[in-house]
Amino acid sequence: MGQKLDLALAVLNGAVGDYLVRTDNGLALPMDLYLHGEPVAPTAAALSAAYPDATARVVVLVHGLMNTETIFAMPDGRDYGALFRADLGLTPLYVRYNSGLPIADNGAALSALLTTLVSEYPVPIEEIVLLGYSMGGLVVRAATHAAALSAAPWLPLVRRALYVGTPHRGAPMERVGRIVSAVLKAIPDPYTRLIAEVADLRSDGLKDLGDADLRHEDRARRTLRVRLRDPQHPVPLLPGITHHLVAGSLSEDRWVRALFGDAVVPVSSATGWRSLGEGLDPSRVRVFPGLSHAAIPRSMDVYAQMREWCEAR
Amino acid sequence: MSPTDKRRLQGLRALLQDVVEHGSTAVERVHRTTADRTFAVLEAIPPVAGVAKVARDVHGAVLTGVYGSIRQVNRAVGEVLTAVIEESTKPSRE
Repeated sequence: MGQKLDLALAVLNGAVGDYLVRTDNGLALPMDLYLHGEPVAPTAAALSAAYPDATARVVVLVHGLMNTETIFAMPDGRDYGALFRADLGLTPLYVRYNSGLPIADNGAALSALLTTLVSEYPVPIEEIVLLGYSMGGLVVRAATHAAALSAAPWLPLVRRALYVGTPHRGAPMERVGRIVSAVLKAIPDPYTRLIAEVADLRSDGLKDLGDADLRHEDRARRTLRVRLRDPQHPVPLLPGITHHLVAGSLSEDRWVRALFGDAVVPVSSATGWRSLGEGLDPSRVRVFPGLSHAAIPRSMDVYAQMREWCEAR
Repeated sequence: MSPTDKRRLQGLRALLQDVVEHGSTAVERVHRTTADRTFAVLEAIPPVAGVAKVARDVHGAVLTGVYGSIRQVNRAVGEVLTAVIEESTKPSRE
């Protein structure tokens, strides 16, 4: 019951989470750390109680749109966090958030949460690994961007960021939805306009996915042009952090890869490193044929690759 | 019931109310616009223009009454549910 309710709330928040916050609705999810399905307050006492064996190296796992941290769970109950703990001694910290809020707002909230964490964590933190799945990767990028602007104390501790199925150059499906909605609105018919209004109820977070908008000012560049190529992204990957990009693909066929990617995110968007700044080594980008968007956050093959990256010093 | 559960229950009540409120307003607008088109055609035909004008006014009044009632009942149900949730989450005196 608890997990089903959590998932229902996550879906609701992803769909209309910005409306829930605007109307001060009690169904809106605040950003929190979660352990075994329960929130952990970012206070010294609560963190000590929740993580009695806390290690100085942590991995922060950030889920995607309409998910909770259970998206990382494999059939045998393990997940990337538990595996990192067992193999590399990284303490997993799972973040749950309202994925309907603008990505910029969630990034700022994550930066604030990590700022509190480094001062309240039971032992001094020596290293932070950031792991974002799908939208979570964009939230991670928005957080590092916000942290760089505010010189947040946690940012120098980040050595590595892992992006799993993250639409760095936007999600075409959302861009198509934007165009369909605009076309319906332009038709002078009350029924089509009603459908367009319902479609426009989708959350700010969802709309941000279209062009991977990490900042509020990025929305100004939204257009209704149908583009075959994704736009250049105005926010490069932050220097000083080693970035690793993981993409899934339904098939090895180049056309399937190009058109459908992992069924949600095209491979070009998940691996769009050329538009994300110079200096990203191609060896830090890996495509997994046969892995869909739903499978990529809980795959042993993906974990093995991420572990290999994290073991390299 | 924990404070979180209570907050969520009140949130669910508010969300359902919002859906009915905004939904009925949107459907009323579509209903009115569609009917206006028909009445506009009828009012352009001289032999039935007078009757069509009366029918439009009656139809408009009925629409206002029906959709207004839906929203009034919705608000009343919301207030009752708010009171029920508040009452059921009060600590027992025993």
